[in-house]
Amino acid sequence: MAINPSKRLAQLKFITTIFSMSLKEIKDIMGFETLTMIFRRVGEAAGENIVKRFQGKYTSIEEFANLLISEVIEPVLGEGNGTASVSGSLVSIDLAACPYKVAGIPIKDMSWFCEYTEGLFDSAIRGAFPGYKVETKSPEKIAQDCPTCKFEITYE
Amino acid sequence: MSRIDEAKELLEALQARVPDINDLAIARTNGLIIYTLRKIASDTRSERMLGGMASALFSISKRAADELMKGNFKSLNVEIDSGTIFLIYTGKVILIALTKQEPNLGLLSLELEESAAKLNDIFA
Repeated sequence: MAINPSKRLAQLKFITTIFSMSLKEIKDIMGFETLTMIFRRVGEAAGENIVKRFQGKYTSIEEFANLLISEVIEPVLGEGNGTASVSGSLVSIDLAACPYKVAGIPIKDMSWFCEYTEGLFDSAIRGAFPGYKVETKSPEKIAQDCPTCKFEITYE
Repeated sequence: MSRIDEAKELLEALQARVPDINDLAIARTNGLIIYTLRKIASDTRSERMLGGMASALFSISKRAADELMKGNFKSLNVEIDSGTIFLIYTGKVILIALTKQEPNLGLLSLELEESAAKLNDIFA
């Protein structure tokens, strides 16, 4: 039985409100870092799933990075809002939009959401290319009023 | 020498000086383990668990310090019947020590504080 769209929207708003209130309570009682840890781990789990999904679809880190953009980033952020480049042992990923900001989340106050994305990229590259020493940094974030989110993943 | 190599040397020397220490690790506040001696947290799952637990313990202790005491978190000591968990926040990273039963607390806290200060320089 199809759900009435307006009823479905009301349900989703309810769930979002509960989720948002839960995050506020976790932050107030357990602290900001608890949320960064949780979101990082959720991002890592998402990255592991991506590696499974992409199996057999890439032969190089360039191809893997491009798949991340076309199959993970662009469906969420829109076409042209993500770019990836590889130079030596550095993978650079730039995101021109923030999905959380677009969804109306006050990302400046809830920057633990950024940990999800960093964990996703880190764990995806780590899982796709085992044996490499991977380090991920995010020197610029939209949550810090930068124009884009930049992720720099080194693999050696 | 890389920062990881420097941290590794520091932790190995610390454990050699303090025999009550069973395992040592350095974690980021988001729970990501930077380096561990891997004596107890010896596989990826237990390493992830150690990082997550350390982050949660640090975070809630920091909140308690701020909210209840209007102060800054320095360290946490969890006494368990099988040993002790020590967490020291260096200002950059968390130093985690897992000890044997009834450790020499005086020596342990002194050595951990000194090492935490050195780690702060390494990861500055």
